[in-house]
Amino acid sequence: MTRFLKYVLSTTLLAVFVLLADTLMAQTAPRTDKVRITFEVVDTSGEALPYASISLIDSLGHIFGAVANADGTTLFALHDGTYALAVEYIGYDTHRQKILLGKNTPTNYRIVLKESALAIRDVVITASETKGTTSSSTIDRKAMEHLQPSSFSDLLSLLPGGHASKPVLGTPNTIHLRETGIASSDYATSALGTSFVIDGAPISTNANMQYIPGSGAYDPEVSHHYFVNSGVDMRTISTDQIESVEIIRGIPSVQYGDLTSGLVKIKRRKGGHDLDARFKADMSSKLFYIGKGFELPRRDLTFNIGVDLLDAHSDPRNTLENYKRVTGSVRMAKKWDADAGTSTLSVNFDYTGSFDNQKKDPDLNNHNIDDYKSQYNHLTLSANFDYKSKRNGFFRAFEATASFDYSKDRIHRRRFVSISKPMATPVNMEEGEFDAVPLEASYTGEMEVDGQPLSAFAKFMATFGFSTDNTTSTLLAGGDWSMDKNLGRGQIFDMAHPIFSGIATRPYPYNKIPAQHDMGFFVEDNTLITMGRTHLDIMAGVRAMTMLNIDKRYEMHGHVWFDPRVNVRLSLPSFSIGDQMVETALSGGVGWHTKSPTMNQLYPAPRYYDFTQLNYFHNAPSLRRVNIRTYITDPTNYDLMPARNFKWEVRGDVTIAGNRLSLTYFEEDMKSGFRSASTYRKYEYKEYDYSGIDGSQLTAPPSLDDMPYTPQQVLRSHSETTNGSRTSKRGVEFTFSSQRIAALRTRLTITGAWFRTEYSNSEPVYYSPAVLINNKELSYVGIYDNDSHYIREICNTNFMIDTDLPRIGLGISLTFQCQWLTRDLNTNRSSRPSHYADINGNVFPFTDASAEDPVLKWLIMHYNEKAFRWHSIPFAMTTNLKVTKRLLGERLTAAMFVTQMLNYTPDYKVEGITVRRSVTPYFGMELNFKLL
Amino acid sequence: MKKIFNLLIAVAVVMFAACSDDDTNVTPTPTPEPEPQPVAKTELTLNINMPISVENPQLKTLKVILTDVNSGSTTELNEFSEAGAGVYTLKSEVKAGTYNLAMNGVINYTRDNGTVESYVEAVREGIHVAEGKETKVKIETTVSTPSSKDFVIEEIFFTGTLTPDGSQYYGDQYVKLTNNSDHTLYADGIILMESEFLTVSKFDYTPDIMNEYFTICSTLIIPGSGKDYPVEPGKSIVIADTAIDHRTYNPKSMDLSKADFEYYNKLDDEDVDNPDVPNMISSTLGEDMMWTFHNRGFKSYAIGRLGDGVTPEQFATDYAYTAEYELVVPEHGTFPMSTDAWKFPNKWVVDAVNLSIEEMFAWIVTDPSLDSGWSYCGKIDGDQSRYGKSVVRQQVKLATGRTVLKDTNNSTVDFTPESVPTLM
Repeated sequence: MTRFLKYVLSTTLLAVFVLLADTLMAQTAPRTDKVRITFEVVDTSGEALPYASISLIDSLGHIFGAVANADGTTLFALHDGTYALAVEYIGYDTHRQKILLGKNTPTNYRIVLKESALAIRDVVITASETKGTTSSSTIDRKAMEHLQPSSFSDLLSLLPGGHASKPVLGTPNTIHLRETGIASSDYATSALGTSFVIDGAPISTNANMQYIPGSGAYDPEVSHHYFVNSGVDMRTISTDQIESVEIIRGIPSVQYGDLTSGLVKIKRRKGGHDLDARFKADMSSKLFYIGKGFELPRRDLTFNIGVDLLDAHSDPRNTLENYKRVTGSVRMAKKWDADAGTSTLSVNFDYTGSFDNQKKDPDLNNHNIDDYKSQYNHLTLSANFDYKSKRNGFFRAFEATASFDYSKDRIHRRRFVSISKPMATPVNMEEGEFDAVPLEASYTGEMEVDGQPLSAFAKFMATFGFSTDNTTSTLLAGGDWSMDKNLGRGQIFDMAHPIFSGIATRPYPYNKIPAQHDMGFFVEDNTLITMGRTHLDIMAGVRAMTMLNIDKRYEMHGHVWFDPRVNVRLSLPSFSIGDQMVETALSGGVGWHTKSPTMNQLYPAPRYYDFTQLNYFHNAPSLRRVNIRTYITDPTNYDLMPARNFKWEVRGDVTIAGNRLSLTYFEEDMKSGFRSASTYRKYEYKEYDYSGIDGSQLTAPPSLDDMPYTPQQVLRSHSETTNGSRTSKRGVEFTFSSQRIAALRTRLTITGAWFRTEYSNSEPVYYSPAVLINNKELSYVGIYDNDSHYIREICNTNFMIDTDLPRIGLGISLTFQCQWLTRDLNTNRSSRPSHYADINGNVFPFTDASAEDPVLKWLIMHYNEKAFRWHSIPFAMTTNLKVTKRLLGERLTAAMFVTQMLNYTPDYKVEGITVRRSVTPYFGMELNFKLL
Repeated sequence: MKKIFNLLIAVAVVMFAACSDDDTNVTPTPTPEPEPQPVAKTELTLNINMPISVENPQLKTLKVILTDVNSGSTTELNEFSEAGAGVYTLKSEVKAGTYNLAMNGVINYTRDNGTVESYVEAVREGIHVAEGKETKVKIETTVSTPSSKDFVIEEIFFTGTLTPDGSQYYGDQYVKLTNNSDHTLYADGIILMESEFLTVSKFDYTPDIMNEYFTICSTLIIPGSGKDYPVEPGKSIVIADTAIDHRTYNPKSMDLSKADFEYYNKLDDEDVDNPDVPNMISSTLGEDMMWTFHNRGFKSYAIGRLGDGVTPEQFATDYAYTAEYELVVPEHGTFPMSTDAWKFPNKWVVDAVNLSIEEMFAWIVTDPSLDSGWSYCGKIDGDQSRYGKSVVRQQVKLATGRTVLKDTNNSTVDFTPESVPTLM
């Protein structure tokens, strides 16, 4: 290993030296002698092959190497002469050709690479780090087949820092890129701000408001099913329709907006003739898929259809909780080839159904009803048109995407309620003084949440190209618009029969909420500069985003946010050591990213406060009276801003004889993540004194007209969405993949990461401790600087050894997942407020005198200082085995996997207490049929 | 199998042997020589056994009253001598006849390496003393309190009831306080307290103040200016969660509309208030500002009065207590914690009752001088059989003939666990 490191180090140094020498030479050499020559690398279908390796060797043996840009093109400026051209791309046959360079020789080459028969067998079953300008991972069909996923979430184990464990299909799976993750809805913006784009159209979750108010506290058994404001539920994405996935962890192109933390680009299968079927069964789920591709080559028309069904029980012994997914997809693509250019129109129609069901065992619940059903029925129609010019003029391409998305989401909760003591409940929708009605002793409460998110998306983009002697540039310009609206009837229930007897909420219609429109414009330049044998690829762009149809009261009204993003990649001249070619590249990027708030954050349900003014109980029910004063508080934060994330990264990339090491250091700082923060308001009501009433003389409930009362005022909190959460991420990601060792047919892939994520409040927090002294509430609010600052660190490495034996159709991979260190620290929280507010909202500094005040001293919080210490979990290793066996001439593939097969999870001590860890193996198998 | 059986026999034999040893100890060995008596009096020897529930009991003072059933005349005896471990002998000469005996005494015994003072008592009826025939009587004593001078907690109904459809109902929780003294007391200002700590999980709370304070999280105070709510000797007051006839809401519950006080939480929109029953003043520290008895019985309860001149506000300020502890979760590590509570001086406590369950009992959360035992409803966590059951204090008959509630500061022996609620 050390020898290898030395080798890497020496080659890097050498590369830097060569680059410097070369740059100097380039400056001194007469430029006039050089001829510009461009290469465009495409596959047999005409699709560009980005980042293909191109090398030219002159008669003296000098190597001129370069990596193509994202469009598969690259540029050389060379002296006249004869060169041996070699174009390489993983999975394709290497193209070799002699090229004569002179005055009248061609200067544009279009190189068509053929998929190699050998390469098809030489599968890459892991995520590969793309050679683009920013850090991203590509996972293709072969990797997915080997991985045997149930849903998209399983793919993330292939990313640096990821690791495979038992699937969790009982709760929504949200994405956590480059972070350790923390169990708090205050830090969900990273997940919300990771955009999923399927065939050019983003999945919008802005109008998802499927939750039952109050259930976090009153109904924790079902509240884990919600994922409002948390982005995409990856369980709902089936992998069987996917051709390839690119997960951009770094800084994506400005053509992608409404994101903060990452981009997942999903490209689905197009064409082919296969009839595929897949049946998977593992310890908690069953999956069935069937799909067919059609191609009419004469008409340049392709069709794909596919249906998939997943049935999962998070605990196979528990038949009362279950998750089901049904997806169906019909996709059509038509190509028109003309002399001037190629046009492609793709139309996709998709259905996704996602169903969570949970109920209590009636036998254990006294034969009473208690169930929860959540359905998502999602229909998407999307169309993508793109035109690519064949002329090498300024205009190169035009692309337009439109998508419509309609969901019929429904939560239905039934809960048997039996009051634990006599209670009354409000039934008024308006503010003012009302009488509450008594609750029945027992009833079955029902709540329906009807959400019908409707979203539309449109994007157009034109590509222009131009070149100079040493540069080729591609210019992107375009705009996009997205709309979110919810047509649902919202939260519907009978106020006299609430599902939780302790919380007085009100129905809230979603269809009254105005539509949310986001609009963005972007322009980006991709320039490839050739400096001798060095190539500099610069991607620089800016995106402007604004929100339309938002009321003037919102601070965001009329505001425009600019996201500048720059990525640079410097490919150093390739050279050879012995007969091994060495390619090196350095890259880096910096950028801002903006995600607008969701509908739930912009238009939260009004909060109702009901204060009891009179509670008169009489043995005769007709003479009882409960009078309340109802307030409606609008918890909208009109100062809310989009969440903005600033990222930068540097990368190094070395390839020696096909062995590739890529290393990235990144930092991200999002200071304006969304958080639900407490705000306090004063409420006034009357406390009636009914002592003057003679119960025996009453013929009707007591009248309030002449009843004396005392005015009361209290402080009550409600939550508002603020930009008060900060998430800072730092880390190192690395991927090493070796060349397949021919004799053993084995490849080693090492991926790993060190992540340090800090979660903290970026704005002071308000808190009023619940203290009641001699029947008097504390009527002060403390303002604390530091609510919580959580530091989380993980460091892990996965070693994957995969062996592919094409002659017997066997693929085996063994992964050692090493978690070197997991540690966390919760730093000191402010025990003393910096300021405090009185009941009227006047703010005063909290001084030493306040700390001595018998009432204000209750604002001082007590924390055990010892809790603010590092907590470390030492080394652990789990092992995963995956085997695929191809039978019947590849028509049938049988595969099996064991996750966490052999595990080393030693006990460790925390402050003298032995902590035991246990992981249990999880296994499954599948059959893949490729018919016709 | 056979081996185990043999072992069982062996164990049984040893235990039996141990028991017989005790028996031999009990019999006083030196038989006293009879002395010539001029009057027709017969020697009566009382062999007084100390309670076996206490460790190393030492009898300090003794008062035995013998009442001649025929004449009604009484004789008081105080002299005694030690006759072995935990056994004392009292000799006297009495006329032949039939006697009733009532005795009480003061003992010292060892607890937690310290010496504690307590009381013993015994009652025997129909002791027959035949003329000229020496009579020996063995008296078993029990730990007792001679006479309570204050209120005691007679009953805590903390479990609530189940509705006919099997749901929990706890608006019918109540506590019954009884004047165990021989004079009228006033309930004004009596504080009902709930322990902050649970009897089912023991931590090293720092600073440890239990020998001086009872750590509490919630209190309810009986209103009044001092003489508003008189309670006659032997009479009780009931503090209900909701003082109404609960049977209209839950047929398996009871009528609490005759309760003396109720807890009406005006901060809770849904609580109901019976205008005919005075409300308690709540003075609560905690997240929800609600008073509810722990319905699985993990907490302890006490009554007391604030010291002279101490207002609730002053108490809240001056008696705040922050305890730090390590939450040790076996196999998962330790978690440093902090909890805010109040400390109520033990000397202000009038009576305390620890509650727990057999399955999880870890410790008592009062100083043993307040309560050295615990009572229960249900034996396992969430025991379905606990609903509709109560802990009720036992009655004892004093030497004076008055029946009072047994208060030996040991709830294990003072209370009848899993009783039928007295108001049901």
